Amino acid sequence: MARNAPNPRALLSATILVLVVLALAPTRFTRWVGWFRNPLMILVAPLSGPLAALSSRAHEAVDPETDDPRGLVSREDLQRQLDEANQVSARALERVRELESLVTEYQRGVPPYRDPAVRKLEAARIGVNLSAGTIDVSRGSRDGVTVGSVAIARRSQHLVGIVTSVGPRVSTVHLITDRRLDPPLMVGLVVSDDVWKEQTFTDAPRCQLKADADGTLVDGAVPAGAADRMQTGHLVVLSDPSWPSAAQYCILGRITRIEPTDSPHYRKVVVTPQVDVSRVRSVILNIPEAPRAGGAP
Amino acid sequence: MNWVVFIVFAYAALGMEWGLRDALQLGNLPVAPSFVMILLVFISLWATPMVSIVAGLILGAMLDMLNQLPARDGTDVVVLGPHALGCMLAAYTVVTMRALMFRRGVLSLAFLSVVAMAIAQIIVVSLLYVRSRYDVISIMGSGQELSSRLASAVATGVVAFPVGAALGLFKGLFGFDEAARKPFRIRPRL
Repeated sequence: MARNAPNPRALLSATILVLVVLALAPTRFTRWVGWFRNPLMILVAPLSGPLAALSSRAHEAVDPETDDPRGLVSREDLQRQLDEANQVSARALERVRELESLVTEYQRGVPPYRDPAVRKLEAARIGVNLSAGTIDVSRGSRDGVTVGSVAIARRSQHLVGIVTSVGPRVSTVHLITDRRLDPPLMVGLVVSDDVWKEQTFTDAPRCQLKADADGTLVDGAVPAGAADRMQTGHLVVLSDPSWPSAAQYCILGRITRIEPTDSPHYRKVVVTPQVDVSRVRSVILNIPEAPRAGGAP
Repeated sequence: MNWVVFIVFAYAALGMEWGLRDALQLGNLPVAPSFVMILLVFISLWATPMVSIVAGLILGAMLDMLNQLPARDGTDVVVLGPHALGCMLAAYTVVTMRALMFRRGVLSLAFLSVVAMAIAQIIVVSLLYVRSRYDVISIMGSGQELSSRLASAVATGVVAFPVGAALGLFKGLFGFDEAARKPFRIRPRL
């Protein structure tokens, strides 16, 4: 006896019903759907990766960052080298402080806390999700990437974002310019372009930055006293204990505006990232290494 | 329709959607054209209604997989359904409107791309907004989200001119059914 073929209209209605249920069901019931993204990304990445690189190159051609064709080092390159040296210096000073406190802790007999080591890994951007404020990069759990790894721009010490989900070969980086970033506030230190010394950080004014809709970072309530010590063009670096240690002293951008507010006691400070974080060609992922068994807590 | 050719073009459209979208982004705004939607409108202009809707379902589900959303707990969530339903409705809209359009013209494809993208995005934003009221997914304000997506619909219409013209060159490869190609005709009164 021949079977009746399924009615296409009934199949369509059932499909629509299933999709409506999946679209509206809470995440705790539909988390499994995310598994299907990984094989799709493995297929799409070989095509979208080169196209994303092409897009970044086109953007760089419009906004050139290239070296001087005469072989001279460009001003931007020198600035980048200074930023990098400053960051290394800031980390070294931080390390000295840590070691000093370590000695004190040892003298007291308290087992000290040690930050895990960080592994660096370059990852090419393979796509951007404009509505979610994320980019996808070409490294995943097979390369050791973990949620919470910090993404830094390849050619500068500029913070790009933090890894929020990891597939086998692709990871998603939530950009610092998205308003839904968690944690939403970033504490920044305002420093000049000079060579950084220990005093630079102890005296530096602070601001609590939040992403704005236009891709800038804004603190709408900087005390007037602190704001008076800031100038447009000053560099803002991250100094926020709620972020991983690898992100500390990374550049958030430069102050582009200092505006008065309704209250005479506060100023609004606008920081513009120096790198177009959604269009970077590649990023350096700073992956915290898992602590070894039997090591310090 | 030749489904192998469809898969090849869908793959290319998804790759361009993911890798090239920011190249055509409007400044720093989340406004950019959708290559997948142009392909869907092209198919819906020529394929049978059921094939068009199934193509919408497949392309929409792929978009749902790509466009994961940030959650309030700091993770990312894949929401399957909004784009799939939006693309199915967009395909159905094109199928019902195509009898009134000059299908061979790129202008028709560009106009229908704007309409289809707008309809799909209204569905997407509505479903995501409803879900964000009780779930961990986080979207921008619904008004801001909708306005940027409707602006993306206009951008899609602009890009549909060159992309639609290019797709037209490959129309023969798709092997669309004869039944769907019948021209619009007014039946003479007896």
